[in-house]
Amino acid sequence: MFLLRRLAFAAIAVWVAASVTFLLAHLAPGGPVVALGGEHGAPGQLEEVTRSYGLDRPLPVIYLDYISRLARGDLGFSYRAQLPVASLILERMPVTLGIMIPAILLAGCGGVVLGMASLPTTTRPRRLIGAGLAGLHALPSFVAAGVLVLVFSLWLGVLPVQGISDPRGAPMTPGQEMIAWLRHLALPVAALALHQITFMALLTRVRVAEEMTRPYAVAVRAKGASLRRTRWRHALPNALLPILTLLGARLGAFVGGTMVIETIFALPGIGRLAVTSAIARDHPTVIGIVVVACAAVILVNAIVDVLAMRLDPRIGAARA
Amino acid sequence: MNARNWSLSSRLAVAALLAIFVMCSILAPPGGLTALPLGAPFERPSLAHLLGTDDLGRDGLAALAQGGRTSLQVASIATLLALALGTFVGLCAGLGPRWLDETLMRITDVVASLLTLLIAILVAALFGGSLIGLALVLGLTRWPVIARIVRVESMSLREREFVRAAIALGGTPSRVAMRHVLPQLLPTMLSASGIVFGGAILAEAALAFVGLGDPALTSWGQLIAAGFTFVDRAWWSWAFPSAAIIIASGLVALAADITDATP
Repeated sequence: MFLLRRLAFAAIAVWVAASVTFLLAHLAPGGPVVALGGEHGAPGQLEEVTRSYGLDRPLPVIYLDYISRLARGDLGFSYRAQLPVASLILERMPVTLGIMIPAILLAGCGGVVLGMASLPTTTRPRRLIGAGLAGLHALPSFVAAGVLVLVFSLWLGVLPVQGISDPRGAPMTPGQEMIAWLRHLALPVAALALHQITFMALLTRVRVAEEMTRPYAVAVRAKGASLRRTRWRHALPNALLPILTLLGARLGAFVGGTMVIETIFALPGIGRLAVTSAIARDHPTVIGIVVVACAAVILVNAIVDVLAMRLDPRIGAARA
Repeated sequence: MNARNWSLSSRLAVAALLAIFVMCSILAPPGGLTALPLGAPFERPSLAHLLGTDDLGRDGLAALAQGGRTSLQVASIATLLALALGTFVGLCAGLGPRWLDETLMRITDVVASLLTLLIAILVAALFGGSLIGLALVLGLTRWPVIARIVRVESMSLREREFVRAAIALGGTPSRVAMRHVLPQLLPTMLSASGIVFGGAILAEAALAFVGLGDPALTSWGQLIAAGFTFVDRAWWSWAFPSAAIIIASGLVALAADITDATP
């Protein structure tokens, strides 16, 4: 029951996201013909768009057609790249996932450890770490990226400034290529994770502190378990599930972050594709990316929620 | 942390710094970067140019103040819009019948699942980068934060004696909501709007940073991006805008924390 409701919600959310992009494209100056064909399309192209998308038909028909095209995975055609939008996005996927997945893992694990470390032993150190975390939280990723590049690339010279590979380099073995890839992704991942890690740490701290006030934690302490053991072995597992759910809810922030990070580090990912396409007024690509990204985030959140329910049946019981 | 953790002096310090930011952006020269007078490029910070000059010799402080004004305008419009929508939805959900609550909260969840920054990119691509467009996108997609907080607060207020008394005395739902519940919600709303405000400052800067801001206006994001290209010979044109956005968003977060009255 919970599963069905959750999936139905995800489907509606994706549909709303698709409808919002449709609405925006029809509200835009020049309407959908310009939105799909691009402002700088040749006259022939615009007529072709009108014809191939059937934009001379009534609005509800166009809308249904758009939704059914999306459902079939047809995201339209980019006149700038002369390629279908779907294949453009797929081509960029590895780079974006290569930044996002490590950044999410780093923010999740690092944030939990940092949050546990900032739990009070006495008041003063907690306040110091707390203030430090709050300060870091105010550091936007595009500033953090600048600081990281300054320190590691320009001063220490240990990591590359930008790009995904060195075009001047000699041909490399697969092993060397792997290392080069890792070296190029280290700073982007760090910059993306830095802002989120503080959020996860603050969240962990609050949640675990809350669990520690529950009767079971008090009982474990009374039984003679050390504070450390009570926190890590008893309170943290119980606090972890809501932390995981909220990390899923932060996914949107990671997606927004990759757009900025890929631009700074000149990485050929989806975020940079969205930005360059937006600047070039390549509307089908931007629309496609918005729909795909929204759908991906909604889907992952649905999976996280279903997993959380599997792990803790009380969640399903409470919501159903 | 909450209001009780903050001493009077630290509250005054936050208020004073925020006031300085607002004053600077009010006194900023009108127009965008192109309206600023040109001079000697890459001058170090000095008495003549407190924050140095950029590659075209424009005064760093003037540009920073202009950027502050843009941030302030976008964030204010977005926050007011989100506050109005979020409070309305939150009050209806918190005080209304159960079916209304269910419906409104599902709508809230759907809106919260939209990716604000990507939609802002789409709007910038379709309509051109504009301050109003961005503020509208932020306001129309960020209200769920406020709605959820207002809903939870008004649900607990609904059970309090003075609200029940107001209902028992025959107060209409809208009167109870506006005259009895809403005033109690003000501190919560103020603190929640801080979250939206800070987020709007960062979103505006991020969009301008990647080159999708309002081309007619100066933005901190744009200054940071431009400054970083010659950071090796003019650190100040990168460092000061970066510091400004950290301090501004930090201050807003602190202010939100201070106004948060929940124990």
